Formats: sequence, structure tokens, C-alpha cells
Amino acid sequence: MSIFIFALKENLRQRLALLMILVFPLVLLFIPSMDGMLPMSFGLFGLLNLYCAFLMSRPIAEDRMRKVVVRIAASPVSHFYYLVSHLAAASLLLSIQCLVFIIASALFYGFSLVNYFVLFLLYCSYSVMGLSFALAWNTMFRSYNTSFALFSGVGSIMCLVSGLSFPLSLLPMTVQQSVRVLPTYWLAHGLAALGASSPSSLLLSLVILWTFTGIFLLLGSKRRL
Amino acid sequence: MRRENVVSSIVMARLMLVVLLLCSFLLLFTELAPLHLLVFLLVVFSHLLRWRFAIPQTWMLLDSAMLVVLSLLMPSLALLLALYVYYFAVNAKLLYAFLLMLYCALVIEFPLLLFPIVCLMFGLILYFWDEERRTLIQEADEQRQKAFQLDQQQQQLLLDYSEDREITRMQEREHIARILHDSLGHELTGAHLTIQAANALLLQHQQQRAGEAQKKVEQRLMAALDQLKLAVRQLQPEPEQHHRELAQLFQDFSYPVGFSIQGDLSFLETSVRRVLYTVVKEALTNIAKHANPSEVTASIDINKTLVRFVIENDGISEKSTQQAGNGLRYMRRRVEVLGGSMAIIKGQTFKLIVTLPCGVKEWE
Repeated sequence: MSIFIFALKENLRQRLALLMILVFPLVLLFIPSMDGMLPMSFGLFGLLNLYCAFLMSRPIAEDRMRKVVVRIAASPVSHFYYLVSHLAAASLLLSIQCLVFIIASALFYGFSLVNYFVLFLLYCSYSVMGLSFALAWNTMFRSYNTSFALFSGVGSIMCLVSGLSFPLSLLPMTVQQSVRVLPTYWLAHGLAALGASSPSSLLLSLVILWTFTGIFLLLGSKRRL
Repeated sequence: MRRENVVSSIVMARLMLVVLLLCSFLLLFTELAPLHLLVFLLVVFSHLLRWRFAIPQTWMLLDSAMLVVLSLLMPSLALLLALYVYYFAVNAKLLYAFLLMLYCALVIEFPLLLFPIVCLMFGLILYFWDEERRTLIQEADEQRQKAFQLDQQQQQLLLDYSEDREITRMQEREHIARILHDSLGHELTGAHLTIQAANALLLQHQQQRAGEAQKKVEQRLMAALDQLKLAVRQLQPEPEQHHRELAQLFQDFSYPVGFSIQGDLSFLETSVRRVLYTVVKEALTNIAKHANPSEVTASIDINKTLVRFVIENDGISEKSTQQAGNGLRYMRRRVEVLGGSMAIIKGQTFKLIVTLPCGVKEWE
């Protein structure tokens, strides 16, 4: 069994995994939206996706805590192969989650609301960013539970202030400018650009999300035995 | 001082980079347009890439060149070039650092120009700190290596010394056995046979002849006793012999030597006497090889605790060859192994002073 298949099974074995991937995205569709704006579920899906990404990073974090990485270091498997297999497995599950949400949205809100293919690209980029962010975040802690406890607070605040939980326009101007440094802001920015049909802003959001992904991957991929 | 307690200059350089990144972010924050943020993130990515992977420093020129091009379109981004100035300064690419600094000086206005200047200054400080640290580590490693080599040589010398003592002991045993066999053996065998003959005569009731045999036994035993005394005298060193050997060395030397020997050489232990002999020989050989003296004086003074050898010549040579250096070095090691010391005074003349203890501590 390859590491990819093993990682896939490990992720699916988690209690909430299937619920978060297949059921919760559908529940989000029933949250009421504000008039003249994109549905609230589009933003809230960012919050769900971020937590799901954190859940998917659990096998990597636990491998480090249980010293499995030490055994892997002594085996002929390279750290790069191990990491790529795990990230690919997690990314696949997150992409499935995005696809489920996109298909359900298209059926629920109608196919003409937005360009769903671009929305799928945006969510996928955000998913990978969330996964790499979780990877970098976990490297700061020895215990996954501590890491998750702190992340649940920080993640919620990040999503709240960056316009995923409620519209960014309701926040003061200074805060709106400051939150640009948060990676979650760029999903909200991308969604706004998609709603306003602004391809340049959307492209910028995607590029910034991928740049954040690169930065977090560089921080989180360092082998810590 | 243990190395892990010292803050590494590499860690310090990284910390400083984080601080400078934050500073540049704050300086850019007033006009933090999305494009500015993207470029800032790319700069962070570029530095992180160098942190994670060992990419040649010259490749950073490509990143900085791209930033220079961007700064032509958005001048405020030139501020981020300060981070590359810092990077090149820390990594000893001073030419690139100064070229970028020059560009910054042309593009950035005065109050903000202080930022690249500060970056360059910190970069240079960390670079020189790292250089000094490397030099110190290298020197410490060399010292440790020298100490290790000296220790090895000392161990080897001690081993040689121990083996020499064992060989000498064996030779002395053989010498004693030969003397006993040659001198005592003959007389004692004769006495033994005569006693057996006397016993036989007594059994045959030839009292007179037995009495004669008894007298012969007495004579042979007396002779054996004399031989034993002679053998003991032979085993004891002849005091004058050592004096003669040393004097012979001075007299046979190619230059005339004014020498004096004060004290009793037999008072010295054998090993000390041997080292003294070797030292005198080596000192004279060195003079013959590397000096052209008009006058050579030597003195050996022996008291109850120390023996002091001083040799002086006025034919001091300007150039000292490696061979001469090795000779003196080995001489010093031999002397130090016995607990002695050696000093060289160079002035108008070349003076060598060697001091040795009369007795040697037993090495384990």
C-alpha cells in the first residue's frame, strides 16, 4: 500500500471527516443570505474548509508526535515523498468537498449565479492554502490537541475579521485594510471579485493565495524529528 | 565555553531578517495596496526559499533584479530592496550589496533611505561577527589538534622509554649471568667436586688426604669469594667512564670547545645520564650543521637534585632550517618527559640551557 492510499484511509477513518466532506457543505446552503450579495454559504464554506484542512493535517502531526517520522527517516522513503503523498491525499479530499459544495450550490442557487468553474478553482486554491497553513501551524506545537484548541480560536477570529463569517463591508475601514495580511481575507476578496465579475482582482486573489501556500509550505515542510 | 550556549551568528542573522521584514512591512503599510502585499509576500517567499534550501547566493541577484524592475513601475517597492542589501551583506557578497545600496540611494528619498542603510549596517556587522566566529572556531580546532598530536607523541615517547628500560634490564641480567658463570661457576664446581672427593676419602679412612682436600675446598671458596667481589665491582659503573665519554664528545667536536664538568655524573640515574649524553650530542650536531662559531663554551653542573647543561656559541645563523627546528623540538620532548626543561636565548650568541632532575619519577 502506497503512502498516498494509507494517508487517504487515515483521513477518512477520522470520525468527523466524512460528515465534514459530504454533509456539512450541504447544510451551509440553508443559511439565509443578504440581499444583493453572494450567498452567505460561499463565505462560510471557507470557514468549514479551513477546519476540514486542519483535520486533514492530523495524520502528519500525529506521525511527528508518535515518532513515526523517525522511523520513516530511517527507512528508504524520503521525507519529500512522504509529505507529498500526505498532502496529495488531503488535497484530494478537500477538492471533493469543494466539488460537492459547488454541485450542490449550482443545483440550489441555479447555474447562472456565478461562474462555478472559477469558484471551484478559487476554493481549491484556498483549500491547499488552508492545508499548508495547518501544516505550518502544527509545527509550532508538540501536541495536536493543544494545536487544535488554539487553532479553533484563531481560525474563527481570522475568518470573522476577514469577511468569511459576515460581510467585510460591515467592519471599520482600518480593519478592512489591516486584514489584508490574513490569508483568509483573500478568499473573501476573491468571492467579491467573482460577484463583481472582476477577473483581475480574482486573479490577484488566486496568486496571493498560492503565494501564501508557498510560504506556509516552506515553513511547515521542514522535517522535525 | 560550550558551543551550544553561544548564540549562533546564523540564528542571529535569521532573527534580524524577521525583524527587518516586519519593519519593511510597517513602512509599506501606509500604502499597502494588494499588489504591494503580493510583492511583499513574494519577497518573504524568496528569503524563506533560501532558508529552507541551499541555493547559491548569486541566484538572489535574479530575485533582486525582478524587484528592481518592479520598483521602476511602483517606486515605493524599492524599499524592499533593503532586505536584499542585508542578505548580500550577511552572505559576504559585498559588491552586490553595495550596488543595490547605490540603486536605493538613487531611488529612495532621505527619511526612508535610512532603512536600507540600517539593513546594510546590520548585514555588515553580522558578516564580520560571523567571520570572527569562524576564525576563532578554526583556531580552537587547530589548538585542539596540536594538543592531541602532542599527547600522542608524549604517549609514544613514554612507551619508547618504557621499552628501553625493559631492554636495559634484560641486558643487565644477561651481563650478571655471564659474570657469575665465568667467574664463580668454575670455582664453585671445583669446590663441589673436591668435597665429594674428601667424603670418599673419609669413607676409606684416608684422613690425611681428606684433610688436604678440605684445604683445597677452602682455597677454592676463598677464590670464589674474591671472584664475587670482583664481579660486584664490575657491575658497578665506573665513575670516570661517564666523565670520559662526555669529555670525548667535546674533544672530538669539529670546533674547539671550552668545557667544564662539575659534580659526580654517577650520581645521575641511568636514563637521565643517557638523555644528557643525547642532548649534548644533539646540541653539538646542531652547532656543526647550522652555525659557524669562533667560540663554543659548554658546562655541566651536577648537584644533589639537578643537572644543568649550558652550551653557547657565537656563530648564530640568520636562517633556521626545518631540520634544526625538529632537532631542538625532539630534544625538548626528551627533556620534558624526564621532568626537565629547556630554554634557548638568542642574542649576540646562541645559548641553550637544559635542566634535568637527577632522579626520575617512575612513570606508570
